[in-house]
Amino acid sequence: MSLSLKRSPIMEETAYPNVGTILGQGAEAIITVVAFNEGIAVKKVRPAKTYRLPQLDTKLRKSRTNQEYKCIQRAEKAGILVPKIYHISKPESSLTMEFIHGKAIRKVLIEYQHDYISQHPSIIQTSKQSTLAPQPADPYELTPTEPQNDEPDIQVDDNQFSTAQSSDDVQHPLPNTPPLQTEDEDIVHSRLVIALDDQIKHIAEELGTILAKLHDANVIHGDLTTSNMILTPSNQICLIDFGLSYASADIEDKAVDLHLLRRACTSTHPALLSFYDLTLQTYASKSVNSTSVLKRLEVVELRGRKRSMAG
Amino acid sequence: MTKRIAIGFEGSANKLGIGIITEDGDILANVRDTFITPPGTGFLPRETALHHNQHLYRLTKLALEEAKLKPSDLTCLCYTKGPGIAMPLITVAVFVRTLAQMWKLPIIAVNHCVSHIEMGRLVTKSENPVVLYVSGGNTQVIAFAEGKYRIFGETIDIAVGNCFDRFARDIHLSNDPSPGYNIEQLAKKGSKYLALPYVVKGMDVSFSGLLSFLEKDLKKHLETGEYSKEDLCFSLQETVFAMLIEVTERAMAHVGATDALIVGGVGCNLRLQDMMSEMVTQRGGRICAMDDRYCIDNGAMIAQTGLLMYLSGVPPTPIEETIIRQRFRTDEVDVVWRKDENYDMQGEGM
Repeated sequence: MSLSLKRSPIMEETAYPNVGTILGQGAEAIITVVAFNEGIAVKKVRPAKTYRLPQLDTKLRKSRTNQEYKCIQRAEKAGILVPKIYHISKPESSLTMEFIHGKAIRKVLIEYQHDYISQHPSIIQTSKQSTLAPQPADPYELTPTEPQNDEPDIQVDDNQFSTAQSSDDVQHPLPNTPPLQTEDEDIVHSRLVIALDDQIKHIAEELGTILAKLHDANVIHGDLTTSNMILTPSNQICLIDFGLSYASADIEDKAVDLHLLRRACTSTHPALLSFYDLTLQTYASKSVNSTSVLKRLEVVELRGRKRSMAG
Repeated sequence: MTKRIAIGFEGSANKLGIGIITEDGDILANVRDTFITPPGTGFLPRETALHHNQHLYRLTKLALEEAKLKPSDLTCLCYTKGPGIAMPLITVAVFVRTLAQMWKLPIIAVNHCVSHIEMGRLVTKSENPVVLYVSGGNTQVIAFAEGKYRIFGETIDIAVGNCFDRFARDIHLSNDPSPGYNIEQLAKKGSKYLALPYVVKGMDVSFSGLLSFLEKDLKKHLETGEYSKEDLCFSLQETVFAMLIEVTERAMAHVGATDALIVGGVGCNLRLQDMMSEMVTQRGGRICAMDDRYCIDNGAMIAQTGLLMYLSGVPPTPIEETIIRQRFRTDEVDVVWRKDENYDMQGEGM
């Protein structure tokens, strides 16, 4: 299953990063590029947290590193492309693994979205005219039944995968700020719906297949964002960052995993929500338990406990 | 123009507080009476409401005397609409309704959690911190984004203070001045660590399993002397606080904040403040631990937030809408008085 690329935007970023480059630093781990066997590798270290009791700290870092390692292994066994683990150091709580070449899918999608809009400038205009959504009458009103989804779903493109726009991205302007003048590009984008080309469709289908395999192997990724998926030069998708992963057969866990992907999609490339829909559609056709997981996903999305929270 | 002054009434839990504050943030009075129950017991809604009822009149008078003010000097009345326990909340709300009609003053209904944050910002002069709100009824990690105080993480079952209170009840600690304070004192003498369930899910935490785990073998531990009360308090604090600091750090990394602010009753705990300070300093930031007087529920914080709302044009609450809400979430309030600051939510690619 290889993609036919006209001019591969993915191939551009094939230069190796220098040894010592910090690829990422979160609250828990630091990821750096290290020299390995005449080439390079990625090293993920969980440094000690001096604020907590040493014995608790050691236990947590060890078990989390171990869990990450196990989940990567499980995923690999399920036939998913993941970084190869070269070395695991328990005292240091570090994993040394393969450096994955390619481009984050997040980047691929954002560039596609950007290119599409610059090639079809009229789409913004159409969207502006048709998105005069009615504003809530009184934004101060706080009643127990505060409406959360008062924004109508506006579709610019009648794409077959078009979907309801989440209220996460909708901004309620304050009464003294006129809604239209303050609308920046991002907000306009969040109301656009862009058609997918064959390449993007293929990525979505690949991703749906991968997620189905992952969940059928009872691995929950825990941090499904398009930044954690790399499109390799050979057009395969490699799943990375299993730092929050765990093993579970629970449909709730699987549904929440998918929900996180949706949330990530709506906040990073909102006009391409159809990408998520196609991914989900493929997932549904490939995963063994998809019926019950998707049913639970509806419940999870409706629950909305955290709808308007973290971006 | 004379300075505008607000009076605030807080009674969402076992503390009845009345405070008076000016628009410059000067606290003219901040009086409080806490309903303390015997060791091994907790406060019940009906009794707490009765306590508030008995002390409302006296405390209001005392607050006005301390501030050397007459009712006619006040600009507005502020009260806690929620979250909290219904009966105590109602008692205070009804009292405020009555005063409003006697004194012909507007009423502002205030969210209790938001007022903790606003008081924290006022006292510590921290402009845009990530807030760890830890009290008997609430455990939340909050950051300001797009006009609201967003909850990034929270407890999925009981609050941290509730966990402490219940454990204090299990080992028959005094409720004076507070169960949490007494746990802190015992923990200082403990040293043997009992590994407890450490439950962090993303930015959410859970404490109920940990409490059950502690309670399950409590008798055995104490009888055999394997773990003393001190050791158990020590283990409880170390585990629970490590969870809280971890989720706070995650939220800080997510939104790119450098400062952290602790509010709520559990924020008085010095060990929690030390741990937070260590984490924040390593990130090159600043910790704004709050003064005891403001961390604990009080009237001044309600007055402060109500006045901010009033001055930024939030219409007063009509008397028929001066209701209470037990589950009034932090992120339901439009924070119209903060317009300038905003985190970049797109940065992390979430």
